[in-house]
Amino acid sequence: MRPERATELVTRWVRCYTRRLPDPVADRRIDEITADLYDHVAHERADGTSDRRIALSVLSRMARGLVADVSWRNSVRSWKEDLMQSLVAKLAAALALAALGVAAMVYGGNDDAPGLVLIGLLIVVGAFVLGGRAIYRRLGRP
Amino acid sequence: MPLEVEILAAAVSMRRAGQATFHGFGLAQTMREQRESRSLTAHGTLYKALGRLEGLGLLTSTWEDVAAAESRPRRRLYEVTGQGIRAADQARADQAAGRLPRLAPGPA
Repeated sequence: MRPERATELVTRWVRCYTRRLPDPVADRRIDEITADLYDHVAHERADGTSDRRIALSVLSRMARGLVADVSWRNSVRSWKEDLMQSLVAKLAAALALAALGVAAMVYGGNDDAPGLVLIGLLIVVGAFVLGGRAIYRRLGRP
Repeated sequence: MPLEVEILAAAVSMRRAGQATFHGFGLAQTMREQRESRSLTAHGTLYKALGRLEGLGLLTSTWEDVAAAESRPRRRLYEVTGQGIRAADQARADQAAGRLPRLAPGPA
């Protein structure tokens, strides 16, 4: 692997964990790591280190810092909160809930268990309400 | 030694050697040399610790001038404050006395 490929992976990871952070915070972290990666590769190349070893060194620094990256991200703004606010996550949850409700209705129908069919129906209705509410709130946002 | 204490010790030694400001990769290199290690400090741990030290008022930082950066990405330049130097000296004294070095910023 070439060092450029390794630095690209690190940059992608930084962009991923700085997503949805305030611009000044995210830009500072991205710019700082970009400069660090440039200096790292330039220094190792000047020392005559092979491309493979440089790439491994860059990836090793990223891998060893993953926990700190996540912890830093959560200290600035919780990832869980972002996930909860994400329309896609809410729709996926509603879809999963609807699938569970349909499964309950099918099993309830096959086993002649009207209670289970009713529970399945309520779950499906609940899933539609949750999904509809998420879309309505998103559309209503300025 | 906690990473923050190690960073401050490296920053103070660079300052005493005539290098008032330092950047992330330069610091990682200095720390690697000082601890005679083969690996550089990870990005995540390094920049998280630098942010913490800055928050405590032990370091300050500014962006390098674009002109000085020439064709490479501009660096964030850090400088140890007077409070940081005192905290590093205290941490070194704690270590010499066999106590766990702690960063307790003193009065500015």
